[in-house]
Amino acid sequence: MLFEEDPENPAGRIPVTGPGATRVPRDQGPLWSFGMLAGVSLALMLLTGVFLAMNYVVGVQPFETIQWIMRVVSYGWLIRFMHMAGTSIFFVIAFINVGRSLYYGSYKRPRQRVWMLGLVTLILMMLTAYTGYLLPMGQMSYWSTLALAHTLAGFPFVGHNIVRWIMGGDGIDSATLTHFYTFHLLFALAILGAVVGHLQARRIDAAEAPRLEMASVETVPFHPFYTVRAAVALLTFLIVCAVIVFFLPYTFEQSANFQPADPLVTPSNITPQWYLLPFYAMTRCTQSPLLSLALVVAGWAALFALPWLDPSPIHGPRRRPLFQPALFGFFVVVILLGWAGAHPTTSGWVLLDRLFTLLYFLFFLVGVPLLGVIETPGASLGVSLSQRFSVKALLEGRGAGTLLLAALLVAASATTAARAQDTANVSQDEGWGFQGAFGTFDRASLQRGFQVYQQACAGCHGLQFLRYGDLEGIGLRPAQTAAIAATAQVPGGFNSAGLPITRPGIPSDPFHNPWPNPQAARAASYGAYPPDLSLIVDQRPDGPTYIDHLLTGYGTAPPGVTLFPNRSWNAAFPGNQIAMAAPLRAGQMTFLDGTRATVPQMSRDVTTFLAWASDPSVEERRQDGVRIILFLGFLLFLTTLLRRRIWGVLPRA
Amino acid sequence: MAGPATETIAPFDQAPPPHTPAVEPHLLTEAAPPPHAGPRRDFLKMTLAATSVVGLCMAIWPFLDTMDPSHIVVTSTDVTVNLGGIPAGSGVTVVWKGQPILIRHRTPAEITREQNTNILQLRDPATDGSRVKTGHADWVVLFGTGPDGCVVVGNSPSDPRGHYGGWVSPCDGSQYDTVGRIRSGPAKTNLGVPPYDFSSATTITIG
Repeated sequence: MLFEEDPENPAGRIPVTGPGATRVPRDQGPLWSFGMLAGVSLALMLLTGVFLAMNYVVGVQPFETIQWIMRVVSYGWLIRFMHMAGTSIFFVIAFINVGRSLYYGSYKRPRQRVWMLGLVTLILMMLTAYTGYLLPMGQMSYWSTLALAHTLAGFPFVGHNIVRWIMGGDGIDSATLTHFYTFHLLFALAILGAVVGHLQARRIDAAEAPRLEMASVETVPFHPFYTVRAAVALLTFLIVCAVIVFFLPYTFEQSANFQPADPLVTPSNITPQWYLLPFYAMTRCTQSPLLSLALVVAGWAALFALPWLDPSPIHGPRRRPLFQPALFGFFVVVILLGWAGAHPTTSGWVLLDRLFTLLYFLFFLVGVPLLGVIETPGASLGVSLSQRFSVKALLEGRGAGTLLLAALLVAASATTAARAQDTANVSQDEGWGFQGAFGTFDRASLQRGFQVYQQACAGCHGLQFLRYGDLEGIGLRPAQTAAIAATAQVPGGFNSAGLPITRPGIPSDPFHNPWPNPQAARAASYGAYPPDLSLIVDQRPDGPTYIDHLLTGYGTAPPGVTLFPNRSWNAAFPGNQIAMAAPLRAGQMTFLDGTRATVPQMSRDVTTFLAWASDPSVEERRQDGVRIILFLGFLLFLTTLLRRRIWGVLPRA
Repeated sequence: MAGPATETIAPFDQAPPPHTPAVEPHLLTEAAPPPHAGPRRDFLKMTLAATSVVGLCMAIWPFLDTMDPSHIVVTSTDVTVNLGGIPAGSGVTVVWKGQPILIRHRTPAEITREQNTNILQLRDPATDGSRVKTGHADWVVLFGTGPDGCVVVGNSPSDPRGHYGGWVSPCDGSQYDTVGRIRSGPAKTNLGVPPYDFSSATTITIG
């Protein structure tokens, strides 16, 4: 392969792709596109960030602001989902970049600068993401921000002052939000600066490297050969992004974050965003805040020191029979570290945190220095990366590729399971027609569901993020939505005597809230707050199924169970004792379309309606997604044809 | 693929060795001419470029659209005003789309005076009837911002109203009559009339 360095001449590698390179090795693999993809991700994050900043109201009602962006601002959902899912996509790309640099020894002399500036970029990305995650002010935003901020309290003497100073108070309030918003923008600008430095360093260092191998290794001009390859990579990347943004935007979001931040209720399992998990797991190894902080700092320091820790001059891992498996082992350890970090801090998981943290440091402090000395470089090339990840190798269940994929799968599935752990025993997949990539809502069911909401739920439960005009989405005509709106009395300012007055609602008014304030709601509901239903389907893990089971789960308490006063027995409710009395009774209402109003029917209809209300534009979004993916697919098809034409002129390798 | 041929490797600090075209296929040397550009390739390139440009333009739209006021903000801007408490000879200012809107209850004397004004003398000729709703000549609804960019004064009977009994600009001193026509001063045009309708005998909806 082309990036196998000569042991005698570590510096003599060919410039990598990009503006600095006019000629590029003919056979460099797809991994070398990830630098460009990281740049594209950054550009998209900055672009969507700018437009989000124009619509985000800082410091006041942050949760409501996000819903405003999602539901009211034209294409607000698009910029928000691009920004939200884009963060995770950006980190995936960045981690692949770091992994590739480790694999190909790109951190070695004379490229330490490139490596270190890359790490600086990654740290800044984490800081940007960390500060940005607070801004929607969901439950998980609030609690994971608090948990991580308190790591900083580990600084001797001044730790608590630092936390206070960063947060602008003793807890998270609007000062914290304005602080974090400003930090978020500043860190984002800093990323831009670090990336410029990273690119510049790469250009200079690549230029320093004599192009000795050029005469003997096949190279091709960057343009058009690698421009067309870059275009193929870019379009593939955009299609993947479009699938996530339009069809799976909440892949990386936890259901707790659909709940507005509540300083009085801690979610059962606080987990920061997945890309912070390995370092978060390190902080959990010890109870001492100072030591936690020291571990994270040491973890980063080890990465920064890698060029000096590794005595081996060989860049190419394929001539390093011991280092290569050790490196894949390290990748697996980092993934498992993140996996352990996603679990509750019970002793078993903390033990795993410690084990994987130990392995992490062993790799840097023992593995890397020792292997460089004791290892005999292979005379011939070992297994290549593409062979390692080939379908054949994976099917046969051997090779590092399988190991990595297995670790990823374990981490992903375990994290998902941990997320759902606090749900009651609800079964999967009730065949909701609106789920899945091409799901649609049954309009008749939506309209019946709205009727159920109005007649059975609206007395106690608000629907604050839905507007009367949105009801056109369930198939009502504008005149009908206006008539429904007009039945509500909404605050209409003050009369000439200075007294508050009401006016009939108009379609742009949000749904009438049955309670003037939460205290009144609690007082009238045996102390239990009837939750707002706008996002209830997202707020409960296994959402629609859970709601449906809850509504049909009422029954008499089994023998031996004593109900608390004013509680009803419900099979689906966690703890089985619910303050809400059974809201649905057979024949309680008459549906205009003649459907019989049985409890399961009403339950299913109102669940469908609430699922729609949580995300009224979902069908439109999926349609947009199909169009955009088809368009990108067409472009990809053309580009692939062009790539064949261009690369076809080369003699076979 | 073959590894580097050892004989071509020169010490680090020396100039790169000359190329050895005999070893390589001609396309792979630095001096190679660009690969042949066939008509099919050109066609592909042009189709691709055109499609990409169309795609980019379409991609720009949603971003710009987020800056537009949303449909909900736009539809909720209608302002309903109850005219009940406004005595004749007086006026109120309400806000519509962030702009001041003057609502003036005219006295019969003011109406007669404006109706009898010779519009040929006016700088920006307009009849009184063209600036009020038919059957509601006692109500005048105007944009409060004059051509000079200042909000005129004169709603309250105690405000300065100028020689024509309407409004006066506090900036350039232009004077308007009770139906908002420019009568003296530097301004060239009348005060604008916003879209509004009488939703009942005593309420108007602006917007």
